[in-house]
Amino acid sequence: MHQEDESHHIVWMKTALCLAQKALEQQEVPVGCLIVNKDRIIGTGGNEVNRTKNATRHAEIIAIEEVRDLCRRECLVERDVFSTSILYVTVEPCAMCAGALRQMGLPLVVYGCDNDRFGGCGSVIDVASNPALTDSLGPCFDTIKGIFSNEAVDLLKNFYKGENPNAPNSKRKLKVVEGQESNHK
Amino acid sequence: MTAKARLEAVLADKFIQNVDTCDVFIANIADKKQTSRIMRQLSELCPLEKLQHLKRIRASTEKGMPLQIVVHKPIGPDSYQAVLEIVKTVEGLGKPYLAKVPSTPPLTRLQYNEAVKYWPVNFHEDKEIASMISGKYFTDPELLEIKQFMKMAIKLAHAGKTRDQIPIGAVVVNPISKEIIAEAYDLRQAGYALQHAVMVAVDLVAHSQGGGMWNFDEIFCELRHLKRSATENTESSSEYLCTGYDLYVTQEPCVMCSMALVHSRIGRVFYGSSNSGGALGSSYKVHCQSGFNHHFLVFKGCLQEQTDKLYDDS
Ligand SMILES: [Zn+2]
Ligand SMILES: [Zn+2]
Repeated sequence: MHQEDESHHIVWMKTALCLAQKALEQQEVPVGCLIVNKDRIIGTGGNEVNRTKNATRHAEIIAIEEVRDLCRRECLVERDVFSTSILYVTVEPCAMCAGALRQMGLPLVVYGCDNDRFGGCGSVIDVASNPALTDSLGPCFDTIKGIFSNEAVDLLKNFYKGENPNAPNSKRKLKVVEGQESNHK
Repeated sequence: MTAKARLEAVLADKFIQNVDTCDVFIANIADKKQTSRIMRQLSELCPLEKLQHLKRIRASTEKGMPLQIVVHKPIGPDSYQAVLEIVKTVEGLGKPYLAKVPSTPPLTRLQYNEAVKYWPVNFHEDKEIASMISGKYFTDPELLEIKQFMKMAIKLAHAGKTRDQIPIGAVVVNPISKEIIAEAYDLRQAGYALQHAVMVAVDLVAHSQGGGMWNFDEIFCELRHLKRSATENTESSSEYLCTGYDLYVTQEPCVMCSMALVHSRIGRVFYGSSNSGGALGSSYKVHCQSGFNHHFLVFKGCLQEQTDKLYDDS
């Protein structure tokens, strides 16, 4: 049903990929995420787990909060904005973010590669389209996956290649790696 | 001790499910004296492989009945022919026939009792799981402590309610030092749908470690986190997210919150009331979901008589 938007999705996914690339250059987990409303980027996000010491600061959550800030600034009704927006992210949202996206009322999520470790859109569990959760989390959202999937995987591989968990480095370093892993892979 | 009676471990399905069975070919041994030779031959010809939990031989309780031995599991459409070939090469075996046996090893006493109705099996009881099932996992002093922390969570739920919030309270505790790390309640009615009690608690833990993301309005004055000096914070680098901490929460966390606890490496979770949308026992068992890289223990029904009152439609 979203077939006609395919070329649109490709353009925005390319932007998400650029964000992921930028994150990699800054030695952050290479996940790029943006929320688009009526052809305008209204929020972007990258991982902030290490900086905030809060394991829930995933790219999607950051992007959601940017949109909320924008709504406040522009006096827009948050609910209306989210319900007419699309979230683009290079990696399948985890089960936590999928739950968050349902509650914010986003109707569509477009992502690149599967998230075999934490995926909440079918890879591990399917929070995105489980009708039993409608009472507690709100309506299901649609997903389109596989756009620039290889590129998204390559970025992640690149990132984790740089880390050798067996190297005799400090405990602190190991922890940081773990923390990053717990975000997205 | 009502808390003692109600506290229930939320175990993975594999500990609770009924015994699954599969078909195998068995045969009778007419002459008991031949048993050890037949056993040896069969274990070489057709090892039990994935059915290692089965005892190969079954002695009937009835007198005069022959011993039965597992020959082979069905291999394909021509199984019977193939098994017949095997039986022919082993002297002293009767005609093979099909029987139902448990397909996986029993993990609990209950499953064991069920399994042996089909066929004798080996059973190695997991003492920890067994004590969780029998309700003897915690000592009385431990139960008392658990009750105290849940009472704090209930108090926080009430505090939230007086501030027009959904009455869900949460407390994060270091079970070794007994320090209270965070005291939280649900804030989603304050404007941001994602500020569930658990998400607030997780961020307050981050605040206690010099991080954190959300700034909470001063009117929610009951929200608290442990405050350490800057030097303490750099010194106590062993702290990492919620590793090793216990969470007490009045209602079963939703899937977002449960997954946040996976990401945060929580140690154990105690909750009061179950919730149909909950993900630590009701719609999912996120804490023991295969695939996720962190698992934790969950106990439900903690002071449930009191927490249920918070969620009665009144
Ligand atoms: Zn996520
Ligand atoms: Zn929740």
